[in-house]
Amino acid sequence: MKSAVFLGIWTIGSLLPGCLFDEPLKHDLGVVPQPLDDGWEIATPESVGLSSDSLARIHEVLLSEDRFVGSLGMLVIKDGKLVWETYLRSLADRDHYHHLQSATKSVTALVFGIARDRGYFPTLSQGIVDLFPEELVGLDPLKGTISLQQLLTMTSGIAFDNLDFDLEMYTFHHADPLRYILEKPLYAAPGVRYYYRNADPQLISYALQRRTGTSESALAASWLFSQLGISDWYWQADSDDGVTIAGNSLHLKPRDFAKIGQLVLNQGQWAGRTVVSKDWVEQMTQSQIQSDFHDANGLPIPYGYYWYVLPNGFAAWGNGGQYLLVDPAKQLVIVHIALPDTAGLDGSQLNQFVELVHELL
Amino acid sequence: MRRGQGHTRALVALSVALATATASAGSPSSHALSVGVDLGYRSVRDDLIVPLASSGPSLGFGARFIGKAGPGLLDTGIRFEFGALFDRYAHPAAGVMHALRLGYLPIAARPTAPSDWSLALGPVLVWETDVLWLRNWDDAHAYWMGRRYLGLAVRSWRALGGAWRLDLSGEINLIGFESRPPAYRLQNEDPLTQVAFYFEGVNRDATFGSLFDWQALRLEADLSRTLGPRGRLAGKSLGLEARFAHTASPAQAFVFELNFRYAYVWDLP
Repeated sequence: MKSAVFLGIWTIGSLLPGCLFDEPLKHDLGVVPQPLDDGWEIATPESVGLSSDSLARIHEVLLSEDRFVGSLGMLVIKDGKLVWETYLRSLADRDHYHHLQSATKSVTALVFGIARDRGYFPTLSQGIVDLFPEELVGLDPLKGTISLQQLLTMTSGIAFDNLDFDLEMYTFHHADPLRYILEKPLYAAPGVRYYYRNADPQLISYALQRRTGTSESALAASWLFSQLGISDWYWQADSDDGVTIAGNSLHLKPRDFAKIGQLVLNQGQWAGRTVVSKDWVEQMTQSQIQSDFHDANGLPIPYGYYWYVLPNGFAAWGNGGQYLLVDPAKQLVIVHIALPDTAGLDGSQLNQFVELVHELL
Repeated sequence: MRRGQGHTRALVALSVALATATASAGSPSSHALSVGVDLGYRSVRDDLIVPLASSGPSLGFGARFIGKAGPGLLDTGIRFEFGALFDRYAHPAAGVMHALRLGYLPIAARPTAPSDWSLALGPVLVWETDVLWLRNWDDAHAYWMGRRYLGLAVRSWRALGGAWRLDLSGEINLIGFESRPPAYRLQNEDPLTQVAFYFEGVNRDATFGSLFDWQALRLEADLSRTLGPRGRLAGKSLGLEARFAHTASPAQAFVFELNFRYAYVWDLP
């Protein structure tokens, strides 16, 4: 009897707090971009030949409480004009920078490309032993043969799982983080197998700093962001040696993220100036290897230099649903931002987003 | 022995040790130590990450010492709770709460008849932290409400006849420090695997505030029965506790829970 009373009270008590809280995940905050002094020309979808009905269908999905639940916002740029912009949780998301997660890698590829254009890296076949001779002392000589090209295509062979990488590099302290990465074992000979790892772009960041004497984030500020009018951003550095974290951790505002896409769409040109060479943009966005991510048909998505190659163009993709889609034929750039550290939520796979916006592509 | 059992035993032992240490620090004429287990239901929402409640059962352990000290009661305790929570999408979450409290409650009303209520009220110092981890929504960061405050505690009790006694108590914050995560999480990861984070990290960047800024409220009813002479084991109690916490900075966050507590009470010399 006592047990039954206890259980009854507990059940009633359980229902009370369980029913107390829940607010809508998303809100309809409009889709019309507001003019800001940020360099973007505003236009209507119809004026550039986009269907408002198609955009409305996309908006309906984004507003759903069951689909793309981590979504924060989406932007559409056509013919260089911002024509559609929506935020799902707060308009403040427009004016604050967001973690791009692994889309950071795509910006790393751009910074590296500019460094290459400027002569810091004459050849991509260069082995890292030339860059890190002291750090490689006493390690497997095969590691010294890892080339820049292999680092840019995730084929270094260094076995450093991404979950371990984030935990060990950002939580723990190391006297020499570069050596710590290089000491990891090889899962395969360099160049043999694609294996998506943050360690590879991190070595690119070390290469940039070693060759130029400047951190990657400072290079980006000087060579890239300032050229595009991007002034409010954040890029985390390793707390031990100050080297920019190249595989993720760049934070940009959504409209500034779109500028990265527009720059690539323009093949490196911005406001009449060459920011990065057309040659590099073409190399970076053409298939170099098959990734271990799959499209809606289960086929591997081709991978360039930290950019995914799509049938209609190419994409930067970060965890949680940070997307930057570029369709050169349609002169289209699409940005989607989402909660950055989600796991397993709907809408966090590139093929899901491509399916969402397929009417525009 | 499984690891979980080891941790639990260690925690209970720690609770008893701390409460006993507190008991021996003073010299009240009589005092009692209670050690109990809580079974509860908790609902937590932190709009910093997502405006959805995560709710579910919680299990807690605690020890409490109440002793006479001068014209009042010394009331101190330690609690640890773990909740297995789920949101409406059935995404799992973990909610951890740990608390230390130390109160001194001068007796304001003494009974003149057996059916009268006694009353004591006074200040209480509380260090209480609620930590929420929502794996699907943010697997890199914790969300917390860390509070260190001076509050007001009140306790009232009366005999119910025979060996039974009813205690009612309440507590509310007045002023203190609150720690919350920043509105935008720039650091890549919280050190979730490091125990120190749950004590130090969740108390960083605390800001001073009052009841008007954030609220921590606790109400409790305990029905206890005195046992016959059984050595120092003086009685058993069944308690019902409701706890509510709220803050609006940098975004709304709530904790609401109901706990049922079963405790053993020992007389201490």
